[in-house]
Amino acid sequence: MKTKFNLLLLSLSLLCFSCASYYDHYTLTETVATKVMVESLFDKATTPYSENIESITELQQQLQKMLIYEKTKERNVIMQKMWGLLNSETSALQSFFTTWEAQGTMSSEFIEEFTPEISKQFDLMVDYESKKDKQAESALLQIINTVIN
Amino acid sequence: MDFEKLFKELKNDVLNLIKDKFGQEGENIKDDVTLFFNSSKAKLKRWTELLATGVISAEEYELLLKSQKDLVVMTSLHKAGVSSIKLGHFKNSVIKLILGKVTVLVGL
Repeated sequence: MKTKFNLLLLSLSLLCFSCASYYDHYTLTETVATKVMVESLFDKATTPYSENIESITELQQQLQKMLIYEKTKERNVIMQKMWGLLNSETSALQSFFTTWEAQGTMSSEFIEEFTPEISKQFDLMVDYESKKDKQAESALLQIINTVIN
Repeated sequence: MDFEKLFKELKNDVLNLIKDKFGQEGENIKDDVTLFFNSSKAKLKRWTELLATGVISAEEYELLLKSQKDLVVMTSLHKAGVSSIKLGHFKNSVIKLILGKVTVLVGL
């Protein structure tokens, strides 16, 4: 029994060492939620910036919260860099807020072109996080089953 | 406005900039930049026309260009991340293979 336990422990250690990072359901749902917040805010960008400060602040806080959250996870460089990009002052998303404030309103033609470009970034993040799913669950279960049975 | 001429000049300028700034290392990203230009050509043309006709402002045009730069970065990160996951799958398969053999050998 002790040999089995040691073998299981060794296997799990090797498995953990070999993974980039595990699938995180919270990250996936929050990334989707942030995408919805962004698209919803873009829809309002043809109205004055001053009328949307609450929603803008809420989105900025959500972006910062996710960056901080991703930084708490080990072996998570890709996701940290992805959220880092969205939070970067020079990014298209952050520059959008500055331009909206300076111009007062954004043109509807611009919003029509800009929205899908930013949405694609979130789609890539969602796709990346969801691809971790199989790795984390099936590999772990197979190893546990091999040792336990 | 001759967009084809503008596009060609823009593409060559960027490729020359890469050559000047990164030298031999720039060769590695030249293909990615060319691919980016070719896949974004239709959008760049549409956006340039919107700017030329005054439908969007210069600042809005700049934001659209920035979105393409960010998309290139995000795509590269996604590519690197997925490759890492595939490598993880391979490593896990190796571990499972070793484990399977070992458990048979030690009679578990």
